Amino acid sequence: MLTTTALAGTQADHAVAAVKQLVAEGALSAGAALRLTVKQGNLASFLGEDNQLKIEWEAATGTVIDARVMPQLASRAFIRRDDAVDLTIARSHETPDLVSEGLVAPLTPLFERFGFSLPDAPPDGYVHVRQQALFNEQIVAIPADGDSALLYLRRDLMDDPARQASFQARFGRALAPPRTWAEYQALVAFFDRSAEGFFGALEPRDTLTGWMYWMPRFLATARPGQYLFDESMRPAIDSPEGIAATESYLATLAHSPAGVLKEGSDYSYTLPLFLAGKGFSTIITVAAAKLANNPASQVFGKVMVVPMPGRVVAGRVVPHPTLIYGNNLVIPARAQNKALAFLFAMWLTDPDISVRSVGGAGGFTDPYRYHHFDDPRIRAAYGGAFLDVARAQLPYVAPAGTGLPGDAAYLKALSENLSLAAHGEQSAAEAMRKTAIEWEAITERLGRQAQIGHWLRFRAAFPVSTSTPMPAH
Amino acid sequence: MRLSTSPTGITLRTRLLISLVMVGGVVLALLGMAGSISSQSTDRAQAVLDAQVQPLVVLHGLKTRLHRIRESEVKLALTQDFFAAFSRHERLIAERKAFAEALAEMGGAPSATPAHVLERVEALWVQYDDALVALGKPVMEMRMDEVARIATYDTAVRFAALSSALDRVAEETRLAAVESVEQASLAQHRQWRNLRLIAGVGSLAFVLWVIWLWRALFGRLLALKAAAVTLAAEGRAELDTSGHDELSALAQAFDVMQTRVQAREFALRGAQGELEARVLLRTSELFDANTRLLREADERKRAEQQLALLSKAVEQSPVGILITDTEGGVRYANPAMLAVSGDPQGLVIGRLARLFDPAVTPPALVSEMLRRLEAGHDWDEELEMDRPDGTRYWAHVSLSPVMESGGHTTHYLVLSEDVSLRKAHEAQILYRANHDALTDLPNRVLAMDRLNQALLHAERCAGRAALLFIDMDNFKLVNDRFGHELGDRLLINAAHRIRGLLRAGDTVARHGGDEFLVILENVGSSDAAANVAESVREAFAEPFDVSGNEVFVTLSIGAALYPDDGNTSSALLRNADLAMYQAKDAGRNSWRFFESRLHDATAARMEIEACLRGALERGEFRLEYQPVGDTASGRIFGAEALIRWDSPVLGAVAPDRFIEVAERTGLIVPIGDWVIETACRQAAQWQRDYDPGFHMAVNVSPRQFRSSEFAARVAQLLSQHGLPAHTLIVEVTEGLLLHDPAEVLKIFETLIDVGVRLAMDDFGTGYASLRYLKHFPFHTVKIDREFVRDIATDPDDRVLVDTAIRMGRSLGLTVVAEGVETPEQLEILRGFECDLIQGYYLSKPLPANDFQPFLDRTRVLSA
Repeated sequence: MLTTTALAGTQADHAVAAVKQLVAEGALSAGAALRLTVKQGNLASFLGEDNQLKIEWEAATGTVIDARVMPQLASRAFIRRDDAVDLTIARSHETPDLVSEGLVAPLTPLFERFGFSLPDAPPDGYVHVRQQALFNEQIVAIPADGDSALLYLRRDLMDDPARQASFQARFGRALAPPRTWAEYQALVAFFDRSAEGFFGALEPRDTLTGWMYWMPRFLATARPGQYLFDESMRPAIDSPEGIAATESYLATLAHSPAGVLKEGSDYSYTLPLFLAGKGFSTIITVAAAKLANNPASQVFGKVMVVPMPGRVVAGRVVPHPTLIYGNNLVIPARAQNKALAFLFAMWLTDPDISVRSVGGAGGFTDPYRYHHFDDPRIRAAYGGAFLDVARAQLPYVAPAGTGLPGDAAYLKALSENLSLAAHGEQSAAEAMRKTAIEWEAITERLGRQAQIGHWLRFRAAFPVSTSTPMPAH
Repeated sequence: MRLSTSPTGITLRTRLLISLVMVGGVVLALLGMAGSISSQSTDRAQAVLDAQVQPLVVLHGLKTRLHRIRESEVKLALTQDFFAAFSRHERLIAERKAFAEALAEMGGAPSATPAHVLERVEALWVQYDDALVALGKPVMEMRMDEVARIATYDTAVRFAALSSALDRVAEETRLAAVESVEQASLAQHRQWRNLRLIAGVGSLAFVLWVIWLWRALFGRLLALKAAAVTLAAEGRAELDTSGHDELSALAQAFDVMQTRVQAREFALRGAQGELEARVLLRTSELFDANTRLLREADERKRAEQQLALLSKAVEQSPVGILITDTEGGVRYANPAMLAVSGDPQGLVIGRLARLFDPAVTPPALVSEMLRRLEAGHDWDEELEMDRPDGTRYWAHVSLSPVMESGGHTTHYLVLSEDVSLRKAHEAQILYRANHDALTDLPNRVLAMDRLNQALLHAERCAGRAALLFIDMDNFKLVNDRFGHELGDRLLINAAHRIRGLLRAGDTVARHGGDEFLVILENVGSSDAAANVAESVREAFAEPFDVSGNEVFVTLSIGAALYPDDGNTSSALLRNADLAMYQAKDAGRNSWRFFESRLHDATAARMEIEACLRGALERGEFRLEYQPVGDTASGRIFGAEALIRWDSPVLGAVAPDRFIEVAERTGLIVPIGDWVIETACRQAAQWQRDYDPGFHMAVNVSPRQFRSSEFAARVAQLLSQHGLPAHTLIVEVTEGLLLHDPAEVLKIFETLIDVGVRLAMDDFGTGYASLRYLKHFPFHTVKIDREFVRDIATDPDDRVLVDTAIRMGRSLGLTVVAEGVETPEQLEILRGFECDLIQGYYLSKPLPANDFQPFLDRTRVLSA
């Protein structure tokens, strides 16, 4: 299913022809409206610069796109509330809940009906099909945004000879991008000047998104093959590895502004600070490169991205990035024009169309097909060096969340306990112990056997390359 | 019979030719002029189109762009996601660029609008654009409160000014168009007058030609006819055949008719052929004229196509367009207008427009609109309109009169655009600007506005209003214990509880932090305000359930009445605040009315505070030293440093007046630091010059004592001046020990580690002195002068002092008696084995320069 299937013409041509066929057969009325609802930051990507993609689609198919902006809600809450949507977006970790609660339509029947596939190999396949599109080996989403975490550092400070000498004298090694979270913590502390308003780390620590910054730490700290749960769905985080990851998660707080603990202080709080030159490091997707690569930015030319910290194997780094946001296209179960929504999604993510979607101005959809990383227009927008690092990291990207029905509940328990620890109200060990207890209760409530099945299938989405060192680049 | 002949000798053919040419010329001239007038009429119609409708469309396009910019910035202020905010800001930049280009294009195009008006528009756009540029920085820093502030207070006014200026351009354009229409009308009138004149002359010429032809042709033919009749009757008629024209020839031919019939027929055929040639010529001329008429018809068709294009543009315009007659009856409504107004297509045409219907739109507004339109002016306003289904919406409505060539208004043009979304956003921003985000109560700004309204109402009704200033007594403890999130929830619950106690017309507002304001209108007497204050206080006797935690808080409430306690909102606020502090001073969990003496005391404190700021830098402080002597030996043990302030404004200010102010404002910390440093330096000098065991006592205020670096600073000064630590005595009062004794004890231990000695000052004046002496590691206790003063005459005081000295000694403390003034007092204290004495008996406090001589002549205490 994941291999390329021969199509008549391009993916986009095939989608347009299918729409015309539906209209000719009377299965779709001429001038039918596709109700598309996406986040404001994605609107320009999905409709094109000056609505060019929208205009092309409408001219080619005779249908119209009724585009609206999605409110600031989780997809689960939004889809439950609004029944007038044919096509919308959901983050990768949200899909298990959406599918298991019957809120989105399974897409495999539509792929089979119209003869499409999701190629996952170079030169132009989707980069994270298994992590973004599948649940229980069924296609439930179409990848449209490749959001894996990257570490941003201040290159000008790293290149400063005086700081290099000071670092060498203090740590006995050269100042270099961190390979492990311990090295990252040392860098954060070294560059921190909180009293002067310059912070070593600008990682969000709010309750809603805190787990995103804990997860790569755990994966890097855990033993190879140790995931969030064992094969009996017993939590593996109430362990020395889980506690170490949590302590690493908490350690940056001494070098971060107090505001990171405030509710709602996600990247909208930390990223502006970083772009204003008030911090040494931050963690976010490659989307931020578009802003840092803007000549109007205060940190233009002063920023570098490096792979996420991980572990060192045979002297070479094995990064442990994870997907964090990652907006995928999903079709609500109550959508009235499912076929039209599906065909538009396939048209939009066509190799040629998607290049214009990702490379266009005003949007923040990140590269999600292999050839995006080589496209001159996209490289100009993001900066080639940023994309090269993001691409080199691709084989190591782990999926987001737990991949389980009940993901929201699992992550809520984890994030709330991390938040309590971050506020100094409990220790790292206590946070892991309480999270494990709550996870056990959730698993029991949802049915252990069923969860075990989901979990074993989801584990297959973890990269197999985590024991292979990253090639030098 | 004789035929008259042509006197000129010109042939009849020539005459006929000349006549035909003349008639043809007149006809051609008339056709040419009519064609010219028709063509120019078409041009003028186009000119009217250019001068009136198209500039209005261009201007409306600019206004639409302007409103789009405004809508974008308002939406921007409501954006919470950084990437979304960045995208929206990029879009706003693009819209600004597009507007600037459209404005430049309008300025560069030929226009009847005066240049200074366009320059004014461009200047206002630059101002508005500058304000929009200022959005960039807060957007990049995600300071959306600042974005909202700019959108509410900076750009809104500039947007409105620019919008008004565009309206003025429209008005100027319309006036210029009216003038051009009038000029065109005059020109057309002149042309028609000329045409009528030429037509008249042509007609006259035609009549003359007919008369001349009658006389020249038919007169002679009648003569010929008479000759023929005569010929028929008499056989032959005598004809005058002289002359040279055709009739003469006819006469001659007739004359020889019988004999030369063939010749006569031939002559007649020749004449006939000649006539046919003339007919052909005339037909050709008519064909040419017909061709010109067809060309003119084509020109008219092109004009009609242009009008059809304009009509299509109006039909498809996203802006609602309605055309009514001057009675308000709808003649046309485009689809956008029907979509905005919700009116069904079939039911609108011919009916009175809802905008002009007094049953729908306020009659006064309808009258105002009609008055302006009838005066030939535009009307522009934003109105809240009803739809037939009962829903309401906001529309930006522009009305313009449509005039015919003569300047007479024939129709009204209505442009309408739905601006409900922008109005809703503006209302949302205004609400956010006036309400507290946490409790949803009115914020301080709105509260002051409500208070001013209440005062105006009270003034008009000669009534009373009241302001309650509410402060939570122990909110900080709640915050410290449970965290800010639970603290915030407590504030929300408290706001609900207060709100639930009040009338609908009363106002509860959040003044800031844990402070609330209650504004009571129409309070008949102070009792009513007192009842409210008491009910609010009592309502907080019940604990709050904050996320499962039972939290008790109490309130301190200050009340001020209008007009009794102030005539202005600021005076009432200040006085209610003062009254609240009085309630706090009275032990909290209570309420107080404002008293004017409070205000006087506060004013005095504020004056002291103002003078106190900078006093240290200006060198207005000095120290005096009161000696402390050994009771048994009479030797001078040391001195207590006492601060003095010589204010150039207030004169000499007693310490009890300014120390409290310094303590409250925090100025006590640098002042106290100066005291210790000066005293240490002086003590070191006297140790060198007089006695190495000389002790120096300094008073330390609670705030200075609790400052984080106090102990370290003392150690530094001791080291800096080479003063042995045990010779410095830090004196504190019981008040310091009342709050957070654990923290105080910790600082005590730190100071003891440094090596300094600790003394309890003013012993006996507090509440639990004995307990403090036991629990805190003091070295010295100083018995307050109040007890020492009457020791010689009051047995009770004598017993008290004796007890205090015994107790202090039993705890291993050095006992100092303060306020010793007489030998009798000294004698008694010596009998009680008091260690040290201090007071006027030894000396009043002395400046440093006088203290040295005092040491030199140290008196021995009388034995």
